[in-house]
Amino acid sequence: MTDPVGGAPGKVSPAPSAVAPAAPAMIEVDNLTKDFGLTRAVDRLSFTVGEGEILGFLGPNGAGKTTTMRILTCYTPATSGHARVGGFDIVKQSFQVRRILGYLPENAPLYPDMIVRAYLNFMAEVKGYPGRQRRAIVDEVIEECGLQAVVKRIVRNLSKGYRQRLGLAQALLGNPKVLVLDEPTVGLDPKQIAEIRELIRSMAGRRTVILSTHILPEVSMTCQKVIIINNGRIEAQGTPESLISTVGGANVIFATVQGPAGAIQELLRKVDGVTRVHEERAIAADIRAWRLEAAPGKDPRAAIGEAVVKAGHALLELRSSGLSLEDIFLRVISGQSGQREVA
Amino acid sequence: MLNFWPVYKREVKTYFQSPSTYVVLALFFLIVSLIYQDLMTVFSSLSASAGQQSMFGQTNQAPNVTDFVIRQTFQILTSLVMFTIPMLSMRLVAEEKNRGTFELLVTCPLGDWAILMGKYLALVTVGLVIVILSGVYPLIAWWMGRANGAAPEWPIVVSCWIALLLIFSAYSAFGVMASSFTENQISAGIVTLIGLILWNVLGVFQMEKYPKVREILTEFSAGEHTENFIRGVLMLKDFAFYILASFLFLFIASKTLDARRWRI
Ligand SMILES: Nc1ncnc2c1ncn2[C@@H]1O[C@H](COP(=O)(O)OP(=O)(O)OP(=O)(O)O)[C@@H](O)[C@H]1O
Ligand SMILES: [Mg+2]
Repeated sequence: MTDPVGGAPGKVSPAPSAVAPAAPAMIEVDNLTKDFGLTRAVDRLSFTVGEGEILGFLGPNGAGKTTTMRILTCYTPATSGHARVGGFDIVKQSFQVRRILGYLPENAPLYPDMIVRAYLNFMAEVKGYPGRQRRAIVDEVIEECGLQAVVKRIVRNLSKGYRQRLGLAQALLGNPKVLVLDEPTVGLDPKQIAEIRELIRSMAGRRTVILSTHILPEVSMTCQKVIIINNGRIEAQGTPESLISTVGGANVIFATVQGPAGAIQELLRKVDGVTRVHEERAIAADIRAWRLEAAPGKDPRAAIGEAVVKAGHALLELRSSGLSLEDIFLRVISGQSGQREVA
Repeated sequence: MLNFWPVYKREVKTYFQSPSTYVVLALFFLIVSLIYQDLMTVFSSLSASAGQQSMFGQTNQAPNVTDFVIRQTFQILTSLVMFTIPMLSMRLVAEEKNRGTFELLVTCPLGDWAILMGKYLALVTVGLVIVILSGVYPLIAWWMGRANGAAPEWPIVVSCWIALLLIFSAYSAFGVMASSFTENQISAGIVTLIGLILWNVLGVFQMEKYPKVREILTEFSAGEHTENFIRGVLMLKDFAFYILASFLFLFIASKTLDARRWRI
């Protein structure tokens, strides 16, 4: 695995042609807006993705993720605003943009009546790779996506997981600089999800990737940068960690304690650094799981342990939930925190 | 610009690997053959009776193979092509849109034209196969008539078969266009069939009050420009008519695909 380049917009992408100005970012989106009749699917979106960065696009259904991706892949133009991919304007230089871009549309569309290898070969041909190169290019993605076992199968008979991988393989043909993946892990079983995520994560530093998802752990596991989008607007953006520390604020701690509920609640509330105490569930008559929130930047676990033991109760479990992106997400999309810029 | 080639190749393969193509072709040739057989039966009895009549000194002419068999077979072929095209063309773009592979194709460095051209030419290739296979009918006529020296006029056969291919191409372009209107294959097929029928009957309306209108409609109707070919006359304007019609339909198709850029 390559070492992730932690948001390295300092690295200048090689200017692919004389017309394209040297761009510090691989993808620059400026005030992108898309209307469908009266619905505004994408609302003044602006962001940049550095070369080799993996950006997660997080949002609920209908947030505008697919629409944004379709604009960036030159499938449909924006109503207003501009975007550049690899330094090329997506409207005026759409052909060059499509040349450096691999795209996995939502639901991984495929030709069901083709053989896997023939399909990849066809896509490589469509992408303009001449016969001599094609074999090597196709072999490369078969290898990378672990498709060796199914190369001779008909696409129709592939399992959902293999279809998704085949879609990804197609996007990877010719090693494009930029990858746009719309919900790459949807409909897969946990093992396959883990595999695809690992594959995407391994691209960090080598390729610029935008992926969309509504699954939260996905972005914290695979992305260096997250954009939370809702109703077409960016609600928050930054690294997963910075989002948690700034938007989320609270550090969430789970504690399981044996003892009288009322006394324990009082006790926990008084611990220095704890801002909220919430009874999660009763495990047994006198055992309860508690969910505590701590002030930003504080870890009151030691104090909690000490206080509980001192009061003579049994501390059965104490753990920090680490990042609760879930909380942030819900909070952000339900409009509690409003627009935040964290980076 | 040969970038239609991959799409073309894939479509040709799809046609010749799909059973439905063979069902359509089999049906086509079954119907033509049945009518052709009737035609030949009537033709031989007519020529036999003409032969007898001439023995009695009457001036009744024997029916001519080219007139009676070749031209009528040509008419049958062109009208059946009208019903065959929708079945072959309906899926071309509609299926691609419906499956989402259209999004895949157009986000590749490939123009809409390359996609449409590839599909259109693949269908024309099927047309070429049909035209070549139906060359068997003039050959049969020649074989049956070789005893009494009634061979078809080959130049007319050739010009008719050129017209058949031209008509097939123009209808194909229409089919590709209708298929690009929708993601529903069945609607695409129905629109194609209705469109082709209308295009053919344009010249039928009498329009006695407006002879000028009638003239124009006739000029633009699908069948009108086969008249010269049937007589064995190759005219540039007839070629131009079918080729320009093909381009017009493909142009409309490309504008339709482009519509996602402003509508959807
Ligand atoms: N072709 C279209 N015509 C009309 N409205 C559309 C079209 N495509 C998308 N929309 C609307 O734009 C909004 C954003 O849709 P989009 O598909 O981008 O959401 P999404 O974030 O991808 O959602 P999901 O998670 O369900 O895939 C939605 O309100 C949707 O109804
Ligand atoms: Mg979507």
